[in-house]
Amino acid sequence: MRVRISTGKTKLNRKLRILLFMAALISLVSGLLTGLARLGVSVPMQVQAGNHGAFMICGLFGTLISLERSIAMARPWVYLAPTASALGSLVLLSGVSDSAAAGLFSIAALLLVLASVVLWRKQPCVHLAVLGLGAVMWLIGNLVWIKSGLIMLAVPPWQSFLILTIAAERLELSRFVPVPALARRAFLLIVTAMSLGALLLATQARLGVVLFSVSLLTLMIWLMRYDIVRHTLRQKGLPRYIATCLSSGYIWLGVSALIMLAGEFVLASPLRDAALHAMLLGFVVAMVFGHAPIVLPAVTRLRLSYHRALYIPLLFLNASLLLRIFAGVVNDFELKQRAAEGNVISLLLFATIAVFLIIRQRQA
Amino acid sequence: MTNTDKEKTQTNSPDEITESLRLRLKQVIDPEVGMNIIDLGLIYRVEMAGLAVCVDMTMTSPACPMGDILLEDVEKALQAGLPEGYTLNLQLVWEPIWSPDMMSEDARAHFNWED
Repeated sequence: MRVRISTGKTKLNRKLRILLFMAALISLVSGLLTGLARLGVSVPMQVQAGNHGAFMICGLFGTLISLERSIAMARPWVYLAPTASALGSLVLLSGVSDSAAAGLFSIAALLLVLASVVLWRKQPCVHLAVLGLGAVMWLIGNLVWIKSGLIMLAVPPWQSFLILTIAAERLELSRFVPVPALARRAFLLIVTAMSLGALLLATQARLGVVLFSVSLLTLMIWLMRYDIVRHTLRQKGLPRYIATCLSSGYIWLGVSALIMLAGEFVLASPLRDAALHAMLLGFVVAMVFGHAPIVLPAVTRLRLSYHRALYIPLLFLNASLLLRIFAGVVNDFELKQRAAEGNVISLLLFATIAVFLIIRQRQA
Repeated sequence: MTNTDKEKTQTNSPDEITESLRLRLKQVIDPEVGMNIIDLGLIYRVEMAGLAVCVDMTMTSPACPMGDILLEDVEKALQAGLPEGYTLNLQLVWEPIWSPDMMSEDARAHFNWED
């Protein structure tokens, strides 16, 4: 049998994809080490603890998200986005120049914005516009970092980048279920308000935080009401696992919003760490856990078949995160250190199980 | 599929072949949604054109990276059911844009659409 497959795309070298994926993993390791160092946990090498957020959001997620987009679009120029982002994380790791790294991340974000415009022109759908808005927020965060030299100020737009990227995908999948037209319009209003809130945080903190957190709470309610997870939770295997990851993530998104609304997003608050990590670990990383069996094969061509053991790191992540929030509430620094170690272990656990499942699949 | 099955396919009419290929495509599951791509309305065309079988499929979003993986799954599913000497022309298309109306009645009922 002869097979002709036409996708209208240029297939790019698998080696390049894997190289970029490895760069994202290096960023992840750097992010984990700097995260622990930031909390005073001793780590095996000297790291710049202040760059934790940049490694995690730009180096890891920025590279992965733009790599995913490159694979979907399969246009050579789009690969420049994850390449710039990967280079940015390597420059950041080298310690040569933080602003050069921020510049490279900005180029990556700009390319991701352009890629989003191309996609939107192809299919002018709301979810693609939201995806584009996410890329814009990444770019804004990077520019704020360059201008101020402070990563802290870039964090709210960066958070929006990740939330919008995930929300856009969930909006897309919600088309399988009946969602009233009014609710769809409300979604657009919610994500716009959230983005505005994130931008206002730097100049009008109180108004910004209220707008940001109320929008996030509303987004959580919207997702819980209209996301396809309400159906996939009743299925078996991978769909149910993904739905479980997402459902727990939505709860953490709400927790994060409530902590911020309570006025605890200020630098001095011991709960700022809880607000950030409820969102970035509880919501974003759980989403990664859920989608790894889909995304990993798309990126590396290595099949990661579902196994119920994948629930173990999810459980560990949620338990260690709960401990981290509790440590923030009782302001126990040592407990927070142990909880952060637990967070890292849950990621390592996930990686170990994933490698085991990939090997098992290849041997089958 | 056994050799006998293949022989059977070869003697079938074009309509029967496309129907059997559609049945095979029902084994390809969208991993996120947990439903097959036929019921989800992602297969736009399964047609015989001379010695070729033309299959057009779409995705719900051009931003989704799993297109290649899904194409691979479709190719695997069709490979065994294609008569000897036939070519498979598998195309990823974006027109028309996918919409919920394209789902089967079963899928719409599953997702609580009231038609």
